[in-house]
Amino acid sequence: MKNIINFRYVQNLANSLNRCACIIQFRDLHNQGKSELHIYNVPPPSKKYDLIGPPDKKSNLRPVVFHVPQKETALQCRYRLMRKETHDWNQAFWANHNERFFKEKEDFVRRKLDDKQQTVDSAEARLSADELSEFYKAFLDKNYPLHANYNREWYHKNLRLLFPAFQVFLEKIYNKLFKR
Amino acid sequence: MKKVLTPNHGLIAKTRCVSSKTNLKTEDDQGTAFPEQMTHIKYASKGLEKFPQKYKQVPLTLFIKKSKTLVMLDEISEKFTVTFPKSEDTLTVDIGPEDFAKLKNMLEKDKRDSSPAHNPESITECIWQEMKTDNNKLMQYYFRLSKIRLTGLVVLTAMAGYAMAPAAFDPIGFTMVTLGTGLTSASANAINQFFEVPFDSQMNRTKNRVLVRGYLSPLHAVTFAAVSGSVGLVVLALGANPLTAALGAFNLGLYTLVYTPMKRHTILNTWVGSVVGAVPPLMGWAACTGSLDPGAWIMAAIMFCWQFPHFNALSWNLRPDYSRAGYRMMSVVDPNLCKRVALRHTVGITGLCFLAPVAGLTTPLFPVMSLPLNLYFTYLGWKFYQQGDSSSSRSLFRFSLLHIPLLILLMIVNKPSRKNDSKDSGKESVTVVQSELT
Repeated sequence: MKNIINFRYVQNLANSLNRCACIIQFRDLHNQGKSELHIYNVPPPSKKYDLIGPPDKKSNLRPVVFHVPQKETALQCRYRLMRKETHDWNQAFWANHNERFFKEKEDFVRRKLDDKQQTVDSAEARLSADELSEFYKAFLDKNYPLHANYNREWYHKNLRLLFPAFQVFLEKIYNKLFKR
Repeated sequence: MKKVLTPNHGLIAKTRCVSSKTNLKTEDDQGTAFPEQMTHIKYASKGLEKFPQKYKQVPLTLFIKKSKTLVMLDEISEKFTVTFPKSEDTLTVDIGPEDFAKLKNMLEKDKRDSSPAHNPESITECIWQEMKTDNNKLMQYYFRLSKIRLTGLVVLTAMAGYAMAPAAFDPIGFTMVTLGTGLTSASANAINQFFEVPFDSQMNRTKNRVLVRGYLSPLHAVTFAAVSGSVGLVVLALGANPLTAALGAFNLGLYTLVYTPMKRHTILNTWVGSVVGAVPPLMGWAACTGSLDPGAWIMAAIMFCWQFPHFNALSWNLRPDYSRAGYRMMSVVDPNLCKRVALRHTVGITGLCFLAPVAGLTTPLFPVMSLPLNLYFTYLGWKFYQQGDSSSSRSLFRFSLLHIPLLILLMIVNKPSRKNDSKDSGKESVTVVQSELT
C-alpha cells in the first residue's frame, strides 16, 4: 500500500530537530516523575559557566565555549585566553592528525585490496587484523617524532595552565570574602 | 527482526538529508500549511539514559506539540514508517533503495571509523553541558577519577602481601596500609587522567572519563591527587612504617612520572607498568614485618609476571585505537613479541609457584594445588600465541582476571604456620620477661 509521502511532514520534523532547541521529556518509569532534559545542537547561552559540547567529528575533542563575565579581571582574562589557545592548538593538531590517519588507512586498504585483486566496495573486502596491523605499526613509526614533539608541548601547556587556574581560584575567594 | 531508530544515531537528521535529495514528486510543497517556525518535539522514552540491547526496543515516539500529534517512528525493511495514532494514518517514508543503501553505508562507515565522535553510546555524550561542578556527584567523580576498580584490585594485592607476611596480624596496621595504599593509588590514577585528556578523548574505552567530559576542572583533579597522595603517604608512614611509605612514594612517582609519559615513547613502558603492579604486595609485606623477605620478592615476581598476559591480551583488541592515539604498545609495534612475552610469562608464573616453598612463602602443597590453574593459564597463553586473534586474546584476558584472585587465595590457604607469628607469641614473650624479672 503506497502512501502519499507528505513532504511537509517530513520537512517540518527534520527542520525542527535539526535547527532549534528541542525539549526532550524523559518519562521515568521508576518514579513516574517528569524531568526535562534540554538538548541543544548549538551552544545555549549560559549566564555563569563555560560550556562543553559533543566531541568534534574530526578531532574527537570536546569544544569549549568560554564564558566571559561582565566584570572580568585581568587574571581571569589571561587564564581564559591561555585555555582558549591550548584548546585551539589541540583541536588543530588532532583534526589534522586524525584526517591523515584515516586517509592513509584508506590508501593502505585500497592498495592491499588491489594486490589481492578485489574492489574496495565489495562485501568481502575486509582486511584481516594482522594485515591492518602492518599499517598501524607503520603509522606509529612514521609519526613518532611528531608525537614526541606533541607530547612535550602538551605537557608544557597543560602544566602551565595550573598556576593561573589557582590564581583565579584564590582571587574568586578573595573577592567573595572581602569585596561585598 | 525490526530495527528501531534511536536518536543516538542521529538517523532522523540523516533521513532528512537523504530524503531531500530524492526526487519526491510533490508539487504542492511550496505552499506549506506549516510555516517554518519552531515546533516543539517531545520525546518519550523508557527513561533510560543508555539504550542497552537487553531492553526491549520500542519505536521512537515523538509528540508534536503544535499539531498535538503523537508520532511513532519504526523502521520496516527499507522504508521508515511514521504512524499517527490519532488519525490512524501511516506515512511511509520511502527513500528508495539506493539512498537507503547510501544511508546504511554512511552509518557503517561511521562505525568502522570507531572514533568516539562517531560512536555515541548515550544521549548525554551528544549534548552541550555547562561546566559546573555537580556537588552531589562529587564522590562519584572522585571514584571515577581514581579508577576505583583498579585501585580496589591494587589494595587487594597489598592486603594479600600483608596476609602472607610472617608476622603478627595487627588490625590497625592492616587498616592503615589498606587506606594508605588506596589513597596513593587514587592519587596516581588521578594524575594519570590529568595528563592524558586528549589521548583519552581519542579512544572509545576512555572517552567518558571525568576530565574528558569536563565534569571536574583540571585544577580540581590535581588538587584531589595532591591531597589524597600526601594523606596516603602520611598514613603509610605513621600507620605502618617508613619503608612502606617509601615504597608507596616510589610507586607513585614511577607510575605518574615514568610510566605515563613512557607510554608514548617506547614499548618498554609495559615492563615499567608491571613493576608498578608488583610493588603493592611488597608494601603490604613491609607494613607487616618491616622488612622485605625472599617470600615478598617471590610474590612480587608473580605479580610482575601476571601483568604481561593480562595487559598484552587486553591491548590486542585495541590496536586501532592505540595506533591512532599514538601509544606505543607491543601489540601494535611488535605483535609477535607481544604474543611471545605473554606466553613466556605464563610459564614464568608456573615456575615461580614452584619456587614459593623454597623461599618460605608457602607450604610445598601450594605449587601442586595451583598447578591446574597455572597450566590452564599457560594453555590459554599458548592458544593466544598460536592464533593471535580477538577471541583468544579475550579469553586470556578474562581468565587472567580470575587467575590472580584464585592464586592469591591458594597462597593464603597454604601459608606456612610459624611459631613466632601466632597470637600466643606475644603472651609467651611477656611471661618470659616476667619470669626473668621475678
